Amino acid sequence: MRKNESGRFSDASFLILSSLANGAKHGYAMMEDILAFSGTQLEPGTLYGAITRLEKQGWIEALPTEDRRRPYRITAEGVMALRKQVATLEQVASVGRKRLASLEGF
Amino acid sequence: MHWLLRLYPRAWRERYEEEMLALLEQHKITPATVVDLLIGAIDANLNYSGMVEGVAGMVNRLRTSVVMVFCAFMLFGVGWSMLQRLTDPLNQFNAVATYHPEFRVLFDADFVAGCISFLAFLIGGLPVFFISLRRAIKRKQKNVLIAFWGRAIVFAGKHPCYGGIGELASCRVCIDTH
Repeated sequence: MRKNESGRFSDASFLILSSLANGAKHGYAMMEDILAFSGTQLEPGTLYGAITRLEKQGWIEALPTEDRRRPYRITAEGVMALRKQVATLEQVASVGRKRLASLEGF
Repeated sequence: MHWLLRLYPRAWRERYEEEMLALLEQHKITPATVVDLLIGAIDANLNYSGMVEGVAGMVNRLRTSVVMVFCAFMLFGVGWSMLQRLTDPLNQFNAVATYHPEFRVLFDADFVAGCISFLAFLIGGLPVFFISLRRAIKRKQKNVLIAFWGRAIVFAGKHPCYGGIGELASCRVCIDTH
């Protein structure tokens, strides 16, 4: 798996990969889905900046255009990258939960 | 919004413009959207076109950047030259600088900064200049040679040491050397 080169788009990349994990979507559908499951309103410039990088990294791929809209789907490499990110976040969340529990006495 | 997408590099537009336009037709445009697209355009220009257009595209981009730097330096030079007139007439400037020495410090700092940037410009630009001049002579490109000599004559004409339109008092280098 390649090193993450998403820079300022890393959060958007994670959201896009999460969105595409349950099926191919075009840009607007991704924005709506991300807003629904995370409450984050991605703007088009950020969305396409992240899509450009994810495509270059080979983590997503474009499907044939449908009525001016091009759907994207996650690749096997993308699934691996998403798994790694989710595992890292789960580890961070777990540590955060434990440390919060130790604070409950205060 | 179409005009905003024109700020993106050509290669990017060929690949993403149509779907982006389709998305923008459905999306509510706010000032945040415009700012986001502007930042996206800067990012695409910095990170997208070179990789897609290949070496030839990168060479063109590099050439454009050199020309932009040259133009920016010319503009800086105009501002810097105007600031050099601050000492004119010199006796009044000296009188003011006696009561407010910060004026002299600022003026000297500006002068030194201008000289350093001019030197940096020369170091960076002279190799390019000589390569261009040699190529123009080799290929007998009269229009390029005329442009070079024209610049040299204009520069000499404006410089006070060559009897130009300025006064001797405006050139600190000349004051120090004459």
